[in-house]
Amino acid sequence: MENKLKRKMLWLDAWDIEEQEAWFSHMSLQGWKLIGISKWMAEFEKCEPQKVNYRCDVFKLNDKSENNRIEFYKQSGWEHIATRGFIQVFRDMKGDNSLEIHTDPIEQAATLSILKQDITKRGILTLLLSVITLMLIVGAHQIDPVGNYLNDKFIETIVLIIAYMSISITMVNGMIHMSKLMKRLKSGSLLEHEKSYHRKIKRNKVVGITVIFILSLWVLTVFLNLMNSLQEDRFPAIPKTELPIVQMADFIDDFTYIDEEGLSYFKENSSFLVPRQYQLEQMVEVPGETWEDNSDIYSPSISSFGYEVRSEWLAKKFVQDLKEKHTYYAENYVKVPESKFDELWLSQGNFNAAFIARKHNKVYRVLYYGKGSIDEIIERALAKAER
Amino acid sequence: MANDQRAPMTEAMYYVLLALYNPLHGYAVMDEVKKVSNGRIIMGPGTLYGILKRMQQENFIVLDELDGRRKIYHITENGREALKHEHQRLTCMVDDGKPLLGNGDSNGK
Repeated sequence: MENKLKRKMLWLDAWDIEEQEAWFSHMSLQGWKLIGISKWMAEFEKCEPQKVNYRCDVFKLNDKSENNRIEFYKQSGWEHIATRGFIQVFRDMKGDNSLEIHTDPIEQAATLSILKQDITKRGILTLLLSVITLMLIVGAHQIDPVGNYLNDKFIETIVLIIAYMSISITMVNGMIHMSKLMKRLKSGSLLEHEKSYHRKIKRNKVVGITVIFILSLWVLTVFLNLMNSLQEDRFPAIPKTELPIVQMADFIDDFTYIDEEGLSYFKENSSFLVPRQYQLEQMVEVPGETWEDNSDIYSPSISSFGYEVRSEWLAKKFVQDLKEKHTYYAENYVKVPESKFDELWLSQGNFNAAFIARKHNKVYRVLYYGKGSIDEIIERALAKAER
Repeated sequence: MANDQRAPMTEAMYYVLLALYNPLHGYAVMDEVKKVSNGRIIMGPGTLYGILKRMQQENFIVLDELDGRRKIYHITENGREALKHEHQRLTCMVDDGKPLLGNGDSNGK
C-alpha cells in the first residue's frame, strides 16, 4: 500500500458544498483520502478505509485578513487539504471531532456571501455574453441561409446554442442553489454534511460528457472540412458521361472548351440537408459560329447547379432562400405561371438568362449566357428532373 | 428602554465580547466562551473567526501581535461600550418580562 494515487474528475460544482463534503468522506470510507484539488480533478491517496469528516468552508486563501484562519482551524483539529476557488476543504484530524467549524448558521451565511456574489457576478456575465453571442450567431445565420442547406452551417448554430445554453443553465442553477443554501442558513438550520450526491454527479456527468462530445465532434468536423478544402481539386475535369444536371452538350452539338484554368469544371458535394449537390461551369467556343453582330466567335457559357434536398418541404424553403440570395446578386426572378416544374422562376436579360426550378425535392439553378433559347434549356432540365 | 441606535448583537457576538473582557489569544476565546456561558455555548473555529474579523472591522476589538506568533485580542472602549449597552438591553428585556412571567427559575414550565 505505498503511495498509490488516483485522480477523479470533480463532477460536483464548487457551490455543491454539502455534496462535496459527503463525497470526500465517502471516498475515505472506500480507502481513498483526499490530498488535493487541481482545476477539475480531485487527487486521492490510498489509505486504510476509515470514516473521516470533511468540511468545505468559503474564504479567499490569499486574502491578508484571512492569514490566521487556517492555523486557527488547525488548533481545533481541522486540517486544510485543498483549495477550489473560494472553497477550502478541511479534514477532521481527530477522527470524531465534535467541534464543527461552523456552529452558528447566521455567521456561516455571512461567509457564504462571497461565493454567492462571485457566482452571481459570473452568472450574469455568462448570461449576457450568451445572449450577445447567440444574437450574433442567429444574425450571421440569416445573412446566408443557403449555407445552412449546402454547407451544414446550421449545425454550428445548434452546437453553439447547446454549449451556451448548458453553461448558462449551470450558472443559473448555481445562483439558485446558493440562494437556497443562504436562505436555509438564515432560517437557522446548519448545513447537512452527509447529503446524497449521486444524482448530482450523474446528472453533471451526463450533461458534461454530452456537451464535450458534441463540441469535439463539431471541432473535428470543422477541422476535417478545412483539410478537405485545402486538399481538394479546385477545378475538377468535367466527365465525358452524361451529368445529372443541364450541360452544354444537351443543346450544342459541337464546341471546344476555352483553354484557361478555372473556366470549366464539375464539382460534386454533399451536406446533411442536401445530400447531392452538383455544380458545372462551362465556357466554350463554337467553331464556325459568331455572335449575332458578327463581332466575334460565338462563346456561350453556362453555370448549372443541381440539388437533391432531403425532403420536398425543405426543397420549397431552399428555393425561397436561393431566390432571395441571388436576387440580392442582381438576378431578378419572376414566377412562370405555367410549367411542368412544381415551381419555376425566371430572370431574363439580353444574352443572359437564369432560372431556378423545382420538381419534388430536386432543385436546379442555371445561368446561361448565349444566343440559344432559355426555354430549350428549361426543357432539358425538366428531362433531367424526371429521370 | 432608551432609544437605540445600535442593532442588537447576535448571541455569539455577545459571548465573544464577554469572553474578551480580559485580553486573550484567539484560540483561548473558544474555551472562554464555553466557560462564561456555563458550557451552554460551544463555538466552532469558523464561527469564532468570522466574528473576530467582523468585530475588528467594527472596532470592538483590536489584535496585538506580541512576539509575532501569539496574537492577543483586546476589547476596545467602543467594544466595552457596546457590550454594556447590550447587557443593559438584555436586562431590560428580562425585567419587562418579570411582572408576567415571574423570576427566571419558575418560568417556561
